[in-house]
Amino acid sequence: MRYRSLPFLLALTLTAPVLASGSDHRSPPLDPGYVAECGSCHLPYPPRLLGAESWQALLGQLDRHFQADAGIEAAALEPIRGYLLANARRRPTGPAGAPVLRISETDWFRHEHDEISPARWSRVRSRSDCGACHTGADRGRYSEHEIKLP
Amino acid sequence: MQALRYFAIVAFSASAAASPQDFLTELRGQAQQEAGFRDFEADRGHQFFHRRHGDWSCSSCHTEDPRQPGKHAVTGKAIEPLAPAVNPARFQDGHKVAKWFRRNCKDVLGRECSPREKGDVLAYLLSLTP
Repeated sequence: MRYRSLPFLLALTLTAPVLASGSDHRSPPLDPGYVAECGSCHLPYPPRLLGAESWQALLGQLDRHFQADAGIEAAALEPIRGYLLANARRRPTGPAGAPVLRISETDWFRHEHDEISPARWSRVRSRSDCGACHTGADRGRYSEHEIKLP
Repeated sequence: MQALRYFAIVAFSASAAASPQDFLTELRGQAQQEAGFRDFEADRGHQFFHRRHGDWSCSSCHTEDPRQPGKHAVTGKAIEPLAPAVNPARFQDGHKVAKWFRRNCKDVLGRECSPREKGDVLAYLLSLTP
């Protein structure tokens, strides 16, 4: 095979490491504003883990966010809402498009984790603790290559 | 237009930036409206910080020693030390201070804290040395 142009070779050289590092379309970097606000209390869960209707429901009751007050000023909330909705999961996450407030209760989560035994789960603090197995979870990365089972 | 925007950003930052002493002064002004208030007391803040007000105390997440890194009691997320002597980033931003006092007091006490309670806790945190 012959590469006719230098630009083509150059482009290949520049993109290859990016592809190899796992920064593909499935793991885009997390929004820094979202990480700063929501990630100060818990893992910054990527927007694609929940559907838009679920994010809307969560953001509508932040003052009662899983037994904690996570209320924030409207001016700070709106950019986060925009980010979450624009990048939300497109496929349904629960029955008939109803909001699902816990990521671990979505259909896709149950399906993806159906081979995890109760014994294994017992070694994880909570199903919300993605980082217990997904070593890149704090950066929004959930590739199968970045799993270390406890 | 650009200059106006720049001015707005600078003015906003200036209103939000502060020092722990600025907060203490501001809280003292508010606490003086409360009956019987004389001044903030680090000892009272120490007791308040460590007392359980229900299921939780401040120290549930910030640990018994606020000079140490803490851990969120539910999510396990790491929390930077609270005492300004070991973490100078603390009590610098009015928005942050207001937000976290509001949230955490509602979680721990089920209500917002009074200016006296906040001032006592801040006086306690400022009394800690590395």
